[in-house]
Amino acid sequence: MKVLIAVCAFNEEETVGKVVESLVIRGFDVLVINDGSHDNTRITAMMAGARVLTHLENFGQGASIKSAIDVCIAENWDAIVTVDADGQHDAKSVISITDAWLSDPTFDVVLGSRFLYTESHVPLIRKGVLNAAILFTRITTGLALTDTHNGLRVLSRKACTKLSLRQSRMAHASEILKEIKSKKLTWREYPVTIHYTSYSKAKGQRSFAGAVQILWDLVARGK
Amino acid sequence: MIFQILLITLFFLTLIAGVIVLTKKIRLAGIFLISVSVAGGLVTLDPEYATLFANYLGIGRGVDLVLYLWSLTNFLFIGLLLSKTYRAEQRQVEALRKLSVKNFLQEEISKNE
Repeated sequence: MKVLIAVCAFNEEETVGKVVESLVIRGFDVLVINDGSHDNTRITAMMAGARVLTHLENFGQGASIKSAIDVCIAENWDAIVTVDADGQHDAKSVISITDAWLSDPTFDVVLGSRFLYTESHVPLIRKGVLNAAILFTRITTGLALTDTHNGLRVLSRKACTKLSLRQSRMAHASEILKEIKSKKLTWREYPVTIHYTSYSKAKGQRSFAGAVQILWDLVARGK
Repeated sequence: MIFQILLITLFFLTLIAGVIVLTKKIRLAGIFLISVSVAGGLVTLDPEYATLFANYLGIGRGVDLVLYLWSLTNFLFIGLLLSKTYRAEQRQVEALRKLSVKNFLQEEISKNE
């Protein structure tokens, strides 16, 4: 089974090198989606051993995942594993979620969950917003998930061909869940660790404002 | 008098636009345009009609009704514009994104040859 690691990156020259290296030395094929970065993300990723697909402008993480899905289908990969470039997802978590899918590839999607492990020390405000997102997802999709906005996930080739994503920015995470439900894809959650560094916290979505933006994108731009 | 003629002409053109939109089966927009043009034309010819419509709707004065409808029309128009702009932006992003993917895949094929 061939698995492609897809790392979505926007201005991540500080961390993308280490993220890619940690995966390449473990034998993974890594594709970095350079989402219109203005810094040296592209060169750094290439020197670390990744192939790099560059977007002409910054289109958003949702668009980056769509590009990763297009490559998966075009190059006949059996699955892609989406990974953040800011170092929140360590190689150990990537390996374990990949192995989890490989041990039972009948699952179309494996979703990482930081709340199935106690090692992820989630900042309080972010935890509150994520819990609200979990409740929102349960109401809108009926999916009983413990973590609805985790960037670490495995999408099988079948899932890649069935998913029809329109959201280009952060609302894609919620859209993927809606698609899992509507396309009746089989899924499971798997415990992963999220590392919150000062860098990743500064880079990450402002929790409350980000949540409002995602809600707006889903409601007003969902069509 | 000149102002009334101009407004009547404008409302007449709006009526035509509404009919055209209706023939394209965009019902709600067509009905809205026709209603606005007919009501606007009547109010222009005889401003007392504004008071009549206002009283019918439970609004005190004709001028208040005109103000409310004007505000509502603007909000709807802005909403439609935002929606169109967003859809155009989505199409543009998708086209450019697909171009990026195509370029990448072609480069990969060239590298492997």
